[in-house]
Amino acid sequence: MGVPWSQECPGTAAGGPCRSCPQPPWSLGGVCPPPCPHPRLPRDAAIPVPGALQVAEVQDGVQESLRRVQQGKAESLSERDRAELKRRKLLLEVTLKSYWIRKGSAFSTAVARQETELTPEMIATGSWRQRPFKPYNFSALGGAPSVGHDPPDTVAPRFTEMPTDNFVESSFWNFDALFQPQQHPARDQHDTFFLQDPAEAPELPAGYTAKVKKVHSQGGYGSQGYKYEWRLEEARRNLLRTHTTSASARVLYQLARQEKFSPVKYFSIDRVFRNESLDATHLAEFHQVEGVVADRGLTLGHLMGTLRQFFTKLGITQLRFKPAYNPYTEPSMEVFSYHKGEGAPGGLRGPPPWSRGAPGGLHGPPKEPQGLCAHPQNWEGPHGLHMHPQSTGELG
Amino acid sequence: YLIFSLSHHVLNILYKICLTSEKDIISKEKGEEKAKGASDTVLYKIDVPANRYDLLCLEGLVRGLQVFKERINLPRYEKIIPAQGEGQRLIITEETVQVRPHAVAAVLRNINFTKERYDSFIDLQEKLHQNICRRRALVAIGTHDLDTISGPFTFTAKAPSEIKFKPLNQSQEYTASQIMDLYRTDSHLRHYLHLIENKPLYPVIYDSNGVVLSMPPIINGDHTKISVNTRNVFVECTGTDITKAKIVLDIIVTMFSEYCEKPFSVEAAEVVYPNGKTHIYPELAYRKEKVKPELINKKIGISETPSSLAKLLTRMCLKSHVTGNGNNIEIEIPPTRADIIHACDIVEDAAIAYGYNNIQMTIPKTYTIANQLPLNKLTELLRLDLAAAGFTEALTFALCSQEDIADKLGMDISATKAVRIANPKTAEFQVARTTLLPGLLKTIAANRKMPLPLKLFEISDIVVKDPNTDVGARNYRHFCAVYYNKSPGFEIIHGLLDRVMQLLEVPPNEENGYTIKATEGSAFFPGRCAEIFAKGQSIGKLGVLHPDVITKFELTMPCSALEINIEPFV
Repeated sequence: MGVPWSQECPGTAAGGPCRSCPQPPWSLGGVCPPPCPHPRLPRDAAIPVPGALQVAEVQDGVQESLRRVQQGKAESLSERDRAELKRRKLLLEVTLKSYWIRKGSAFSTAVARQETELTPEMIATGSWRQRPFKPYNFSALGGAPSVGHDPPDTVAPRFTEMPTDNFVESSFWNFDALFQPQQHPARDQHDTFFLQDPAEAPELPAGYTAKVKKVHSQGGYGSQGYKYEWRLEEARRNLLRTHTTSASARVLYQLARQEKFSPVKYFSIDRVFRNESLDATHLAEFHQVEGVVADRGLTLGHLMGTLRQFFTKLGITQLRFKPAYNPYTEPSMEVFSYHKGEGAPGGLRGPPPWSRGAPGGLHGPPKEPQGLCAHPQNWEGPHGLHMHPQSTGELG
Repeated sequence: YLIFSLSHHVLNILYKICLTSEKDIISKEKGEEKAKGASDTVLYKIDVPANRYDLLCLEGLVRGLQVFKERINLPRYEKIIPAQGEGQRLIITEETVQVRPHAVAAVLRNINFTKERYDSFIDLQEKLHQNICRRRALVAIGTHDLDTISGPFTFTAKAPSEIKFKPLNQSQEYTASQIMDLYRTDSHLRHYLHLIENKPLYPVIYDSNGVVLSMPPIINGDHTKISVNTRNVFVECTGTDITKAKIVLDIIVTMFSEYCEKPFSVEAAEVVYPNGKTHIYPELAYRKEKVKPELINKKIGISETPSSLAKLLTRMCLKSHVTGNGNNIEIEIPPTRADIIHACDIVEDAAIAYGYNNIQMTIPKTYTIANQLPLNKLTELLRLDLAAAGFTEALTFALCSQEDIADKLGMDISATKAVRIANPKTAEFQVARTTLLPGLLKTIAANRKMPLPLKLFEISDIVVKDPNTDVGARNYRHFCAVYYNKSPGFEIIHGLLDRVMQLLEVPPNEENGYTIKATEGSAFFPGRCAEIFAKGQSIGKLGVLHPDVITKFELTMPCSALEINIEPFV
């Protein structure tokens, strides 16, 4: 729109600004803003302008630059010039991208869609092996589950829970420390799961082991003992614990090593293992409820009272106690409970539906090798309620 | 248990007794058809505790009951030592030391058998064999018609080829090696062959004429077999445990000397050891113990007078009387009560005689502060919230097959650090589980007919080998959840993890919380498995299960799973 003054504006001399244009002087290549009042003259007219510089030639740098670009020598322009020309929209820089394309390994002429999820059909046909899957984004959070809430459980038993977090136990803690002789049938291959690996317990309590050995083989603490040759290798044999009484033994051992005796009540409910064939009433693994009370002056009456309290909580109130035999408790007993839900369904005759539970008893003093003095009457009710899924439902 | 036909009422005080009949028994075992014509007489099935050898036969049981009912006094068992040179001798040679070193013997003189008594005699031996003799490994009993043999007897050990005799109820002679083969398929005896089979020398008892009495613990000789007409019985017990051999001998002779011409008297025999020393058997020892009445009362929780306690004990075959100024009880323990090892055994008998159900039940006044194990407390709280999130709890077996924790999950068993069982009855119990996942997948497989989606969880222990523990292995408390549906539902399992972390107050960031990072897992679908990091360690994995895992567990739908160790959060 403006007039390139070097060519047409008569009001200028070569090399100088347009004198009659009120605008500030333009640099080389500038134009007079419209409307330049100066009349346009024919190109070839050489009108002498008073005061204008007469030059033989006009040096047009812009033209020069643009010509160079046209000739393909755009790189010869300086950054500044190029920027200026671009700004003046005289020069347009266009980026030409070119690609090398080759067939890749996954090339196909069919378009394959990426799977998002595994489906049942893919599993059934095995087609997942051939399909590509979209990768997951692990940095996103998952979908929040819809949750209900329950008030927190506030059962506070008067018993302290024993640690029972070892299914693998040594024969020492499972049998020997409980005065069960090494030739006892329960230590047989068909009643106990012995371990192939790890086969032996690396560590047994040294001093205590010696005492246990003595009581088994020679007697002690008022006991005649079993009078047989007690072998350390047999005590080291690892097994899957057959009762949680081994945990009680460990706990009582720790209690005995305390400076001062304090009465305790312990309980545990955990898994035990017996090497039996499975049938409708027998499992190889089941849960055992175990309770131990250690205090001075405890009696069989206390044991029975505690067991009755325990069963009452399960809704069982009719109990009978009968003598039984346990190598590690003396006196020992079994509890028989009458449970209305079990027993003879209509039509069959039979004995009343008493079911056997809870063997228990007072810990025999041969366990006193643990160092507990003569007064505390340790007794224990290993409540061997053999709970397994079938009966749990009935016991509710 | 024992089965008797009794015509009089038996008191249900001592041990568990239930009623049955021969007809019932056959009916249960073989069906009602076979039971037709069998006896209807009421039989009593009695559970005798494992340490009461004196109650293993009818004679002992009846005797015990009659003493308890104060109808008779406990008989006094007498050992009669024959004049010098007249008694029986059993000479042990040193060859027995390597195979079966101990032997004891006695004679039942002028005994009168009837069919029932004879059957009972044989039966008691079998019961003792199963019980205290530990299936003949510790002690084996042999009873012989003394009138068919002549002492002195020799207990020695010889090479199998050198032993030859006609075994009980056979028609010809066999060498010891042949006897092994002969009884290899015998349902009863084959279980005992291993006790001596691979020894260089087999034990054998001869009389002075080379007649074989027996080859313990396998079989007696036919020559000396006893019958209803036998009048003099030579009883020998051989074994590897001398204490038990003595107890066994005592039991046999005390029980059946009742039928001797001089009841309850036993003729002693002399055993000569390799070093020349001798010993008279049976021991028939009576032992005296003193127990304070207060101790008995205190331990049981009753308050009986000393004389009343003495009476209770006497009724239990422990003859007692009050001594001192009435502050002590002296108890005589007969040879039939080898189970009395300690004062507490005496206390137990007093309690039994008193009647457990007569003891007043009390609660101990022990004051203690209660505590739940933190790990279990955490487990309980998590369980509730997981159920609230719509997942169902499962409780699965801790034992499983090797494939379950290795091959089916695309791993090699050696990489699992699994604890291995030496004597599993079935392949289902080969190892202890190192992950909860197989259990849950098997649960789903057993519940395929249930409507989808199946959302299960379990918080329970797994077991791994750990050389840093005293037994060489330890448990870890794991939490595992699976989602089984037409689509894998990874976002649901992921969401569950987020929820659990929220409950544990662990924020979703790397510095002080938890984070998940893509990883590969052999049980997981490639590209859809992540490892979970928290508390500075890797705590588990989650992801979509690999289709191979799904098919190996006999499932058909996609499944995603999550398993972490929760112990770092306790």
